[in-house]
Amino acid sequence: MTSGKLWLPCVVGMLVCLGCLTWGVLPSASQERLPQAAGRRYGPTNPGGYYVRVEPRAVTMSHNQHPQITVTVENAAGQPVDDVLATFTPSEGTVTTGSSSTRGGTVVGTFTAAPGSDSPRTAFLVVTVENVEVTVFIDMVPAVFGR
Amino acid sequence: MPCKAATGLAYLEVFPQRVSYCMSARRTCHVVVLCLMLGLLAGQAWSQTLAVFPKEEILLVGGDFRIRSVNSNIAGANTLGGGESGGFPTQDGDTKSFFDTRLRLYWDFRPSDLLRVHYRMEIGDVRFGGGVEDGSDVSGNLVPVIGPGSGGGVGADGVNVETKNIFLDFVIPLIPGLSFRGGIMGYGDRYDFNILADDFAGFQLLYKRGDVAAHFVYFKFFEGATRDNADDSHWFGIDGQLQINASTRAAATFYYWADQEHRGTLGFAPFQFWIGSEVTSRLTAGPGPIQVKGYVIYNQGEGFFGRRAGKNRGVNFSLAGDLSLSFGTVGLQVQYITGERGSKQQIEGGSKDRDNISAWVSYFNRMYQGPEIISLGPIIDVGDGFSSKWGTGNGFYNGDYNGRLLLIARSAFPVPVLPNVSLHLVGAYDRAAASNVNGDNSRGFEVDLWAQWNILPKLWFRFGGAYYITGNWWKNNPDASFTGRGPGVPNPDNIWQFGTRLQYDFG
Repeated sequence: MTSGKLWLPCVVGMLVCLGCLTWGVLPSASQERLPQAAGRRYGPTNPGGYYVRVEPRAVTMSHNQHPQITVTVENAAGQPVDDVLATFTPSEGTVTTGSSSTRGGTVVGTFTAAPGSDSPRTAFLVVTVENVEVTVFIDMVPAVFGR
Repeated sequence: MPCKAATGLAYLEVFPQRVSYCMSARRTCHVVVLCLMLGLLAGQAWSQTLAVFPKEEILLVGGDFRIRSVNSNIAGANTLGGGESGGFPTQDGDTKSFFDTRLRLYWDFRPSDLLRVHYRMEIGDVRFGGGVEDGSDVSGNLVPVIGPGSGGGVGADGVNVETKNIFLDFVIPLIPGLSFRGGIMGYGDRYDFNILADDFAGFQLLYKRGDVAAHFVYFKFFEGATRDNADDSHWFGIDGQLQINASTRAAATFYYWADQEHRGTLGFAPFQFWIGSEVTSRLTAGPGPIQVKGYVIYNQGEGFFGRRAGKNRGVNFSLAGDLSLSFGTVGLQVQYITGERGSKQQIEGGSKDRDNISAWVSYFNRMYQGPEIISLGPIIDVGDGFSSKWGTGNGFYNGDYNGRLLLIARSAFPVPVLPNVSLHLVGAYDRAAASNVNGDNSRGFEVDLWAQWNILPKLWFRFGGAYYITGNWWKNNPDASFTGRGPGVPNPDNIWQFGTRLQYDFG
């Protein structure tokens, strides 16, 4: 009984420590996980036979933000494939990329809305890899009432 | 003696001594564990210190500055009828014109990648001219035009500066994709119907991962008597979205408003809820891609609206398609909102008092995204449109209880010789879903034309105008009067509005 009372704070303390450790570890872990494609993959493309993932699949932004869209190209085994052309076609505004072809299996595009476009609306961005097209809908809302 | 005493006490104290010895061992163990814990905690704190605080940043992440001019024959009215934001067609009404300016700045305080504190401030609107005592904010609320007030004149500190939002965004580490937001912030639903622009305290749980995005939101309306309509109401919302395939997504929502303002005065607990579903898709057609967006929302409630108490229910349906062409875009939208035949006089204390009515209620509505006068249009974004929650004085925030049928056509295309200039043309037919007390349905027809000139990448200028031809629905309609109860205008004027907007966007 006494022993139980003694060890109880130790156990609690250890749990607290483990929680704290987890807290310390998870930021890097979670940030590593987030970009990992949790959504479905589309394909295979023709003629390359690649599979395409796009993250994020849901974007809500104000007109002055610049969200990034990551396109991942992989083979049937899930391994990243380099030097595959990926294009971004927005319904408005522009998309800038560091490279038009995959590096390390990915291409990152940064979307900028059309100027003067602070009215709420839904734009879209089409990601094309060979014959596969993936549409990302972008909900734009005025900054003072985000969603 | 001490030994004897000790010996003498030995028998008595052996066990305690053993216990003491045993406790010492346990205490030692305990101390070791505690030291370990402290070491871990210190290490954790050290790592947190290293990871967190050196990154602390204060960033200006956005904002805008605008100068706007408005010229319109939508004259001011008394507040019983909703003031200037009522959008009444006035007979021989005075024209008004004014300039105003506004600066908005958005700041981020980022202690780490997981956490940010966001602050949005506004200086303005500072209005020059017009001679109108009241203006309206983005929520349609009547607010005094900035000027001489409790803090002094226009140039006095504290008169023009407003905190719009201040909230904290926090990524919850244990569940990837989950984050928390809390503070004073705004919220707009995915239909742009229920828009809570500012001065709301609340929190939001957001989840976004893969094909799924969802959030829960709670707000407390206008806590405290900061405005005339402070009511302490509760607002709840749940929104979920799923990517069905490569080009289609579907969403479902539920919103609930517990009206605290009138609780205890009606004999029942007033409320409203909305259940909606939306589908957005990109279709491929011969001329070009078409973005299709459709939604259905069912609304039901019981409360105090427009000086009446009772139940209401309604349906709102919308289908829109925008075709992207090589030379621009063209779009069509049809929207139908159920309504009740008759007038509010029949409902307020009349034969329909406390009846169930087929009318739609929205907190605010600017969803049309095209007509300048019917909605809060994009030309100058001034709150003079019929979309104001004051409506025509009967308090049904959108379309009045006669409901609406809107057919909207819109197009936008760049000017060939001026690549930085685009022209926008909108036409809208506005009809009541149910006839008014005189049996009339036709509300009017609106045409908008404006140009957008992108002078620099973030500096733009917009100018244009809108003209609304009033239909028979407005003639002799007691619901379209300044008092909201008195006789209607026999021959309401057509409504026009012209404006300019010069704006620089930060960020």
